Amino acid sequence: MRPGFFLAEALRSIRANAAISIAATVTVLIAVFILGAFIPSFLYVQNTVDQQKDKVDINVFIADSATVQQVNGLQRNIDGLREQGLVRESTYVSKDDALADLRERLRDPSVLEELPSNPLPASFNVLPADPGQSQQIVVALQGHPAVDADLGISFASDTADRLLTVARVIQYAGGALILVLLVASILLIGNTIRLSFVARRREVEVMKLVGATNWFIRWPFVIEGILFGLAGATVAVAMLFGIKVLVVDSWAADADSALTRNDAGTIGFLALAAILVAAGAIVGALGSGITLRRFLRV
Amino acid sequence: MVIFDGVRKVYGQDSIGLDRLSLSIEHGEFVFLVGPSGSGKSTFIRLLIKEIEADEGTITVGGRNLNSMRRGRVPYLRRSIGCVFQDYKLLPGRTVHDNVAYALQVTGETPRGIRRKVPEILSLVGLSEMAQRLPDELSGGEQQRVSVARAFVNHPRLLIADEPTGNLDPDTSIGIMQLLYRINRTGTTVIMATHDREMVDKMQMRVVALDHGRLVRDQRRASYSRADVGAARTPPAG
Repeated sequence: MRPGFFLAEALRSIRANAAISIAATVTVLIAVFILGAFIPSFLYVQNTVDQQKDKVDINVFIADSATVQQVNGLQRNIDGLREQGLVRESTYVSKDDALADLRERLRDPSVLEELPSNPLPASFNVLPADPGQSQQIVVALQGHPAVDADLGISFASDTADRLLTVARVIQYAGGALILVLLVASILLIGNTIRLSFVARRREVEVMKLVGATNWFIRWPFVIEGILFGLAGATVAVAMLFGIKVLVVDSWAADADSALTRNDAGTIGFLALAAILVAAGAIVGALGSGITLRRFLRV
Repeated sequence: MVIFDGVRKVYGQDSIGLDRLSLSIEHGEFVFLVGPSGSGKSTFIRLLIKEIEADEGTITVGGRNLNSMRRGRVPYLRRSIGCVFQDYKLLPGRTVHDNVAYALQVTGETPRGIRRKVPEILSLVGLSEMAQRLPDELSGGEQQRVSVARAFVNHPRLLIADEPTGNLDPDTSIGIMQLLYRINRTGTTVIMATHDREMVDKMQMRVVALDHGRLVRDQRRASYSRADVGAARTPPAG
């Protein structure tokens, strides 16, 4: 009987303060909408960066003069690094493989026919487990007798660093933005509940006089906050769904757009909707709960 | 039922609410609390329901020491005390029925119990017909009856009325007074703060007079003022 009673009390209050209730709902709507637009974009960028990070590889060029034993020794060193968890994967690329690879990339492979011999070195293509540790791998393999003295070890240190910076900035800035939005919604709902509470201050006094416990008085307000959160989130989800169908889906259908060229995935709409509605409810409950803590000291 | 022992309450610098008041009220008594405005009547009542706390002395209500009572227990204290106020203190957006029902819902009463008890008490105060009206559709006297019904629906052992007839005309006041008297007859202790001289004189009940927070008279079967010489003075308890 209690939950029904509290829900009825909350609805009574929402009806009594229609204008304030609409304001609170719109507040949540805006916050959840921004959050809902941000989460998939954030995940998309994050996934793209992750994919790019996978492409940061290290090329260890092998001297033509290196003996088989030396190359095997180098292979063992790399395997050792893999056992330490630094290297994710390594592939041996022979001189022929390198030439075949180059031939594929050239518009006019006939120029290669002019070459008296294969000038390309063999190499190990090494994928670091964490691109941030590329430098360590390079230091560990440098100076090995099998490594070509002139070509040495090449890796895209700039690309790796830049990607890592971008990823980190996105992580922190995104996290901060989401945090700010959530805190703002909590405070705004809290303020709405405070207004609703102050508007009924006299009523609350009377409730206390007839022996209502603080929680008996609080529950309807908390439920009111949760309802604001749920209502705002639901409308925001509906709006986001509209945008997804009208805008994003048509981008995705366009074969030439960045969305299709890059196969980085993002969150499914149902999961996003569930997260947003839950966030709305939690924000509503927190907003009213925190506000009401300060009131009701008899 | 109620024991005040050397109770002192000071508001701010030199505004005295109660000054070392000692007083004892037995179970089932009917007591008028009289005195000019600012004499301490309201302070007395607010102390009883622990709306404010005493600076000195101890207050006991129904065997419970209010000084040592934890905040969380205050709602339970108030459920055992019915309160009627000069300004009725009804919940404005709720019907007569819902106002009375709220006092039961607070205690966790079942919907079934509410369906039984509310009509019962509304018929006791003569408002059965008004159950679905809102407070502002009622006359002052009717609103005060709702307030009495709400105060008594839990059958508290103590009922406090702060100037319950203060806003009412004499005829209506008599109706409220009769209601409080009937409630007292059921064994409920009634404490009523009032300015209504005529009413106090007519009832001839125990009169406790306060002035500047001090007890100036405590007399059984008494009138509003000291005039009637025959009555014996009861010594203050404590």
